[in-house]
Amino acid sequence: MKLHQFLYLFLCFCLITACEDVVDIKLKKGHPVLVVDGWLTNKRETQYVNLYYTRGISQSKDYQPAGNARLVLSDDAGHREVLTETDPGKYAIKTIKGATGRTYKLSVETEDGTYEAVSLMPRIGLIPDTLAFHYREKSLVYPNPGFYPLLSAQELEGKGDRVQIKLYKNGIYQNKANDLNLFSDDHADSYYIFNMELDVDSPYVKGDRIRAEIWSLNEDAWLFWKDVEGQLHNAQIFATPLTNSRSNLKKLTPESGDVTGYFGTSIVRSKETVVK
Amino acid sequence: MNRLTCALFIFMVTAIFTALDSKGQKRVTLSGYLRDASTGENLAGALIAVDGSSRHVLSNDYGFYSVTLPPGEYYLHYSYLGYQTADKHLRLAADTLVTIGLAPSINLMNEVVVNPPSGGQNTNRPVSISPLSINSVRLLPPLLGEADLIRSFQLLPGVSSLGDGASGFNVRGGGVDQNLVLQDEAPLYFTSHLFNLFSVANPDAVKDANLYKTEMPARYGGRLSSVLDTRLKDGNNKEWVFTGGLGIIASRITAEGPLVKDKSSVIVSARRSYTDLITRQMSDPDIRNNSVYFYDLSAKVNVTLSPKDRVFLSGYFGKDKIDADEIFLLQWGNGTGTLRWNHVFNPKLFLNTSLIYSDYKYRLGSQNNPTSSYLWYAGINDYTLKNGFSWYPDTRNTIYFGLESTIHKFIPGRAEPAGPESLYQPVKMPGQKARDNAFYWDHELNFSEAFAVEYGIRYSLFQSLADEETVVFDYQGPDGLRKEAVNATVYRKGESIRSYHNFQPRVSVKLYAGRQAAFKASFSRTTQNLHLISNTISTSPLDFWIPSSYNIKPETANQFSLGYFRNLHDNNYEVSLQTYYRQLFNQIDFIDGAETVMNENQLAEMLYGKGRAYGAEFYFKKYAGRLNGWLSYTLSRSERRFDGINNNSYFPAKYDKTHCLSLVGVYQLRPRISISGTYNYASGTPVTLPGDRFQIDGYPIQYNSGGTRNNFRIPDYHRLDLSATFKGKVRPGGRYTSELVVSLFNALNRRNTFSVYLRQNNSKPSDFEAVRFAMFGTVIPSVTWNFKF
Repeated sequence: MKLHQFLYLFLCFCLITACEDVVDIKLKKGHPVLVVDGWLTNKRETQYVNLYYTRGISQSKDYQPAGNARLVLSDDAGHREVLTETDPGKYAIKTIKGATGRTYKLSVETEDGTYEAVSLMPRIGLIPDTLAFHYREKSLVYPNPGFYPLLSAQELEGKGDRVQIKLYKNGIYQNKANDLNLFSDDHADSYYIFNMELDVDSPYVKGDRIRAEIWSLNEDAWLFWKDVEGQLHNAQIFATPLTNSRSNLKKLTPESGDVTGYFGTSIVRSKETVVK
Repeated sequence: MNRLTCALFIFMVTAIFTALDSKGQKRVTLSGYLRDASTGENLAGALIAVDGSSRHVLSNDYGFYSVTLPPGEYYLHYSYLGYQTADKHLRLAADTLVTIGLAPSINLMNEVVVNPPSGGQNTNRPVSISPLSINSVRLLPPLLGEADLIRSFQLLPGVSSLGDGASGFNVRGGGVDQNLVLQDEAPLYFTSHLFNLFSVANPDAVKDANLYKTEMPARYGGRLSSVLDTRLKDGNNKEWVFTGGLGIIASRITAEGPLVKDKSSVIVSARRSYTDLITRQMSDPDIRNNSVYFYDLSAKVNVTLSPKDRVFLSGYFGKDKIDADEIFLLQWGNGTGTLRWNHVFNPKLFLNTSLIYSDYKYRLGSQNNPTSSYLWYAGINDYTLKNGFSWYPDTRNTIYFGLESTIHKFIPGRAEPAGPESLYQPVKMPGQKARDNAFYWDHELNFSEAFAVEYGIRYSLFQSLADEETVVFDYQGPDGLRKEAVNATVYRKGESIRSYHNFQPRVSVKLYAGRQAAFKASFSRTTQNLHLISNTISTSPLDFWIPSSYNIKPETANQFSLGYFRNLHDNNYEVSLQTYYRQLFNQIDFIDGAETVMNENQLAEMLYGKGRAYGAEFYFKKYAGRLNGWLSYTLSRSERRFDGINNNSYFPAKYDKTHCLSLVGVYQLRPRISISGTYNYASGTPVTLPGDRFQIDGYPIQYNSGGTRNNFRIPDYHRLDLSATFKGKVRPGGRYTSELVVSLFNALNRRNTFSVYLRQNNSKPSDFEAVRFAMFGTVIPSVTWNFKF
């Protein structure tokens, strides 16, 4: 099991009187920073790149979009597209499609500066075979009783395959902190993975329609999700200092304002079934 | 540094000649041992004063003392904290051997054993030491039934900890790995059981403990901030005594007695916790069968071969285990062994030679999923030979000098599949080996009643050796990002990779204003070649030690300190104010986001920087009367600066506490009932919290737009502990004594924040909520029955 999970369990186990409670604290917000949130895949539906600004952590208003920016997506096979702004801050990728092995470059030009992200579309190294479920009663490892998903898949030979597994329950994307699933072939290259249990925030009930999507990640995107995972699962007394998640957006000129976020590229394969 | 070293060397040579200058007059030496009259235990640091003069000496760590005087008639005054004084009228004509037994001080009305010092004794003793007599520790509120030595030191100024449950302690703004914790000269790497609920020393087996934080006598080295020197009892060599306690969480027993009366003795101590009470409180049936426990065992035997020779053999073994079968296993332990020989060459020269072995191991296993089960373990072994001389040329001079050599073997981390089905690929971090040699010279000069100087120098030579064929790299790149490994160099097995020399001078000057007050100024330079790799708030058993090596330089520190000490009201009160300023060099930290466990890129993600710590410590102690205790207050700051962190500017260290206050009171309510209370207050420590946020794929992400580190202070810490001790009736002439200790830890039922962090709000997943994490959320009561017969 992952180290942070182990540490968390260990803490729960040992510290019977330890406790957490929600507190109200005021955190000073910093200056707004441009965020680029976009992902190109091989899926048929239209993909988007969102551009907006960070907001104060305690603020509840919506993110402020960054409209009227010029976004150009190109690949190393000669394709080039200027993205269309469909809504303020929302830019659609209409013509370019994701293909394995291609290197994509997204350049962003706003009033704050010019930026660029480069991302290689990695092959999908984990081919899903079956999606099954098993029922678990309430216990230390399973805080809620219900059906937990099991994925069987073939890991392709060749080290360096990394994926994110996304789950949809009845068409709704599950994206709570405990739903983040990342897998790397470091210790399982070319194995047939049989019934690997996926992490879920809340288990399923009979009749739920579950879709598992496997998204391939290159090394930098993998590290980005690992950064996010580290933030989402705080290890309490063993917590490391908070670090910002890395970003593949780079400033092209030194006068450009700060930028963060991620522009990723993934090949996606899925498997769908119903809990019986 | 070179000039200072030269100057010290010249001073040293001059001092030696002054010391040896006999002025043509015949002198005789009075020497011997100071012992506890009822148990035979040696008394270290006892005061032997020649009445009517400023001449005095202290007994060394083994109770040996030596006073050189012109022949004549003298009144000698022997005293030690917690004991009745003894006076002896002697006519010295030739070298004389006098061994004195001091009777422990027992006052039926008031069993506070911390006696008022007499004749300015308090300020004559090196005031850097904060000795805590084991008996006064017992009168402190015991946490979970035990008088905890290390926890008690945290009640003194300049000593703090990160919070409840955090292992280790911090001294004057230094990290938990910067304290040298010794038990009978053997180093201990992990000093608490079960996350600081119990310290690793069994209180019944400990004779005394001294914490050095201002002056670092040159005979100690290896860590930057402090030395906690714990000595175990040698064992009662007059009669058999059994001591112990039964508590609701842990119990202990100690048996000591003579093998040959007055000549040799043995002491065996054991302690164990039981998990029932802990796990039974968990509502989950799965947990009831699992175990969380610790135990420790120490044994020591000593034989007096002749009036000049004594041999000791001691061992300690302690282990903590958290075993939740099917889920995980976590285990760690210290094991040490010491073989020691005390030899008296002549009345002025004493030698202690020790052979010490230390073994620290920890392992972690996860076995709930057969395909991913693994076992990870790491450890460190030390083999040490020490030769320490105590030389007493005359009453004005005491010189300690010696040579030490240690071999360290490190296993920084090795992970293996735990079962045949496991897919886990073995990972092995390269083993390391180091040789640590040191020479020290420590000279105490008492010029007059008003002026004393102690100076010393420690020279250390640390070599990093290739335990197996090793490849090293240089790391290049901008600070703040993972660096690139370049210039691979191969070292064959046994080759020396790097050597580091360090001169560590230490000086301290004491000026006495009458018999009641003293000023002290000191400077010390210390070096540390063993570094604890940890990136977490509290050190965990997963942190590991690595030596100075090709890439990692020794840490060094300079400390300047000034102090004023005063006894008041006929020595019934003591007041002191000390200030310090410390500079720390070659401190280690990590780039943002570094993984410290089993990370093959560890060295590429390290950053080296500096630190500074400064503060003022105020201490007030009341010795006599039915109510006694002390107040200690520290105002301080500890900061670090690294290129690549916090925009290259100073940020507070994770254990920085601006204010630290401890109030300890012990009140003798009745002849057989005493109550005590401890109140602790400390400012909150800093954590890094973001000011902004964004989201990717619907996951909320925290963002620190300023790049700051440790920008937020958690709430302040308050804790009150109370305890009451009820002593059983003792029949006159009877040997059996017992007492019942009832205590409440965290009597105010306060949830002290250990850290604050942000997590996803479960009802509004796109938002964050701030969570305060506390280690102890309630009052923890405990009842222990202690006995002795």
